[in-house]
Amino acid sequence: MSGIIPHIEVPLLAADGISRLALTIFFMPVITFAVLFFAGKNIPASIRSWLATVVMGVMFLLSVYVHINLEGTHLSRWIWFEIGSIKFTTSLLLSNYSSTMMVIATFVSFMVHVYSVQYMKERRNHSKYFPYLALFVSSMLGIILSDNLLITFIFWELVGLASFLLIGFWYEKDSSAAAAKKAFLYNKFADLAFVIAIMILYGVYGTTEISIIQQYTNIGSALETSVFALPVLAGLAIWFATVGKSAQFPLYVWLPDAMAGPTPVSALLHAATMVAAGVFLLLKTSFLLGGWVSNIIVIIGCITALLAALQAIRTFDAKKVLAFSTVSQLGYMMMAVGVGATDAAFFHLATHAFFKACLFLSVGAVIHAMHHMQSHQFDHGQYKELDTLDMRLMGGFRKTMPITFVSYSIAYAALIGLPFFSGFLSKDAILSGLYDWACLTGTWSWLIVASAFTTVGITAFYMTRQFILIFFGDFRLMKIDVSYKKFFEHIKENEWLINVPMMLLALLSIWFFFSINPLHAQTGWWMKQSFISDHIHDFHIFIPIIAICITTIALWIAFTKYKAVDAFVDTRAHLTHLFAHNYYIEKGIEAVVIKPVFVLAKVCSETDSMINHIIHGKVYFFILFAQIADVFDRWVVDGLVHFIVGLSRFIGSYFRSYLKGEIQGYFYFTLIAFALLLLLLGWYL
Amino acid sequence: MIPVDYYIIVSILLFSIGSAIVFTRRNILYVLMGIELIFNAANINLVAFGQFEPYLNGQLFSMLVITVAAAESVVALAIVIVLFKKLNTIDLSEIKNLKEK
Amino acid sequence: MTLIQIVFFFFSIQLLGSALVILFTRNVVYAAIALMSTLLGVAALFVIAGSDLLAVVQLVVYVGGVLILLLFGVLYTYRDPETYYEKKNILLSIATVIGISIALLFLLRDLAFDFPLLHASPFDQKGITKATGYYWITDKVVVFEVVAVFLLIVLVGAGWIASKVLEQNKRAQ
Repeated sequence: MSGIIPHIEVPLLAADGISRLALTIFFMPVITFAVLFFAGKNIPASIRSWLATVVMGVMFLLSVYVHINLEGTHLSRWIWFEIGSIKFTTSLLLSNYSSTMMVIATFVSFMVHVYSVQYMKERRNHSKYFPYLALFVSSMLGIILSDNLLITFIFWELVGLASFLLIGFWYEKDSSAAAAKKAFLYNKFADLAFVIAIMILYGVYGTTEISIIQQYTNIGSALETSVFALPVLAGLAIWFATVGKSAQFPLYVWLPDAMAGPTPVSALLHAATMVAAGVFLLLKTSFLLGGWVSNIIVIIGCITALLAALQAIRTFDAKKVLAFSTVSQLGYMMMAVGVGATDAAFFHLATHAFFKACLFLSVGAVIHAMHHMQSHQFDHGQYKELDTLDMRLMGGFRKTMPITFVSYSIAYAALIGLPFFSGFLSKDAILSGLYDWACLTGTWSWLIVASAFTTVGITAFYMTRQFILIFFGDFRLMKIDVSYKKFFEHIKENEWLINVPMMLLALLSIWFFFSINPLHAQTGWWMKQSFISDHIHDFHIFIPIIAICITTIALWIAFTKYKAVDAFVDTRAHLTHLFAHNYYIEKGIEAVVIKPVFVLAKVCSETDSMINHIIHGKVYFFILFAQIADVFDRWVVDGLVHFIVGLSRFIGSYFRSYLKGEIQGYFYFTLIAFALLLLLLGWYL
Repeated sequence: MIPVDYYIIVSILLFSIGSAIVFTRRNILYVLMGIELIFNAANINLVAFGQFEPYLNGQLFSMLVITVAAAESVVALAIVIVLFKKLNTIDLSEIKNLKEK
Repeated sequence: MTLIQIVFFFFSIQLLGSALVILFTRNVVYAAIALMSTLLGVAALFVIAGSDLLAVVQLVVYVGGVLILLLFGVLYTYRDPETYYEKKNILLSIATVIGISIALLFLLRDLAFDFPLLHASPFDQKGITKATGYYWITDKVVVFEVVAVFLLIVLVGAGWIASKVLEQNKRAQ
């Protein structure tokens, strides 16, 4: 192996105290998963849920402790296994990024666990819910802590598996099963790129340790040697893996469908953590991105943000709006990564985790209330099919569910980017980064900046639309179906187990937690060391002002439009269809990719059957030949023998017929024979 | 005294007469007589050539021939007796039991 | 023509004539007597060829044995006088005789016999009987014994065939 793969010295490092603590945090959900998965049915439901929740809480506290006491970078590396003289290592990296991410992940999962205790109470298949969540959390921590691309890939796949299990949690519903399969397949397709990246990097460097590779890579010089230099291609491949996991265009279509899973799952996976794992990976391997690869990242991110936001305008499913919003914000994060403003990307990731989770939990509270109403209806003997997610059937919950209303409003303000909220800080950081980049780059980059600002306005528009449809106006379901009138009073505030996590997350969406200065993130406190502040951002004051203006205009438009409109009238139906079908991406994929594969398979099977026919023909020919040989054998060869025998017999019987039984006759013939013999002897003698 | 050719001629003639008897007569006993004549023709030949030998091989062999001929005629007569008892005839044209059906 | 030649011709004529009688006669008893005459002629020829022992053996065995046996056979198988006088095919007989003799002569035509003309038998002084006796017992004693056993077998066999034992066996089956 020494000639093919370069041998780079990979030093082994033992784990120190903090790293061991991080490992403990990682193993806690693994143990929880094992216990609950195998013995879960025997444990009563409440103990199950509280066990998982308490474990999550402990993990959160421990990770806070780790974050506080972390100074610098702690790297540990061990030997995983050896093949001959080749060593494969595992490593653990504790840096600002990973400890911050760990805090975020454990906090959101803790909140989601508390929420789930109430939300998933007495739902089907309860014994598998917490084990799957524990599997997910452990894999997510694996991605966060690992410094080895191969280990990251393993946990990447495990996260995909957990996502599949959780999306299709109520698998008896066809839509859930189909959505789970779709999510898994799209992720798998993108993970192929991850494998290719690992192969390229291993081939070039002989190791998959990120820290080691970082020391030996200079992307600028690699780009100078060749446009398609191997490190550049590796960067492209890793980015493509995140196109699947972090839902970029065109592989984002699984995320809206993934809303078929339970709402807490949507909050945890598809808002806060899993989809952010892609961004996190890119942040760690940002040294591989440069030149044309970065440009591609920015362009795709921009397209994603814009198109998803457009789709959200005409969606009536409450959770789907939030899903499109997630895709759009992920586009923002990717744009920041492509531009090089990794700090801004990470900041937005953190704030987005909190306010998006809060939004999902609030919508989940609304849905939970609707279900509550349905169950009362069922108890009274009437039951009608109700799509509890359809926003057109909601309305006026501002008065009946005030706490939910307040937390939703706070998170909504953060998402839109109103000042004094966390989202404002992070979004403006991204916009500033984009502006700086556009100043350096050429003309086409201004298009990107323009569309980014436009997306800000569209975001405000659709979020306001949802806000109004759910919480303002009258309860429209009552207007349609009068029988629901008596059940309306059952739509009330949920239990504290649901409300408290919502409120906590809403609290974290306020500016205070991220920066003392409500207008600028430069003085962040608990995230201070996450910023690798190589560049000092100039604070462009006009950027937030422009953003606020656009936001306000969009807000006002939405307000006036939806206050008075009848929500069931659908103008511009074709646009709705276009958005509803995800811009026909899936149809495109089916035609371009799937159909040719089927055609190829059919061609192969046709060829195969033709070869079969030829072989059969050959066999028939041989059988025919054998028959001919048999006939020849029986008639000609045997016939010859029989003929000779018959001839002898004929001659013998002819001569024998002369003998009539007289003895003298025999004597006569003997004499003739003897005479002939003598004649013969006479000739020779 | 006598050239050996004469003995050969006599032997040949006796042999042919004996063969004629065997072929043309229908009575078994005649056939037996013919066979005796054939034997004697052979004997004449043997003795005629035997006179030129210092050893007595000719006469010896001839004595053997006589012995065999006598034995043969004994057995033949025994068979004739049995045949006569069975078939009650000694006419060879009527004894066709050897014929293939 | 020496005397010995005349005697030779006389006996050979007798020999052949008796044989012809057997060939052409219709009476079996006449044929038997003619056979005896033939055998006598053969014996004389043996004497002329210098083997008087063999002549006596011939007379004793053939005339005194075989011929008597034949006559017994004739008497045993007597049916009625008509069957005695059988029909015969004269032409075929003559043709057969001539044919066979010519064939044999033709076959033997190329043989050149360079044997000398003897004037006396080599055993005249010693006597052939004594010489033959010595020869049998000393040099050819195995043949002698084999012949004895052979004769025994033949006698027993012939007697058994002709006896009533065979008939009874056959009837039992």
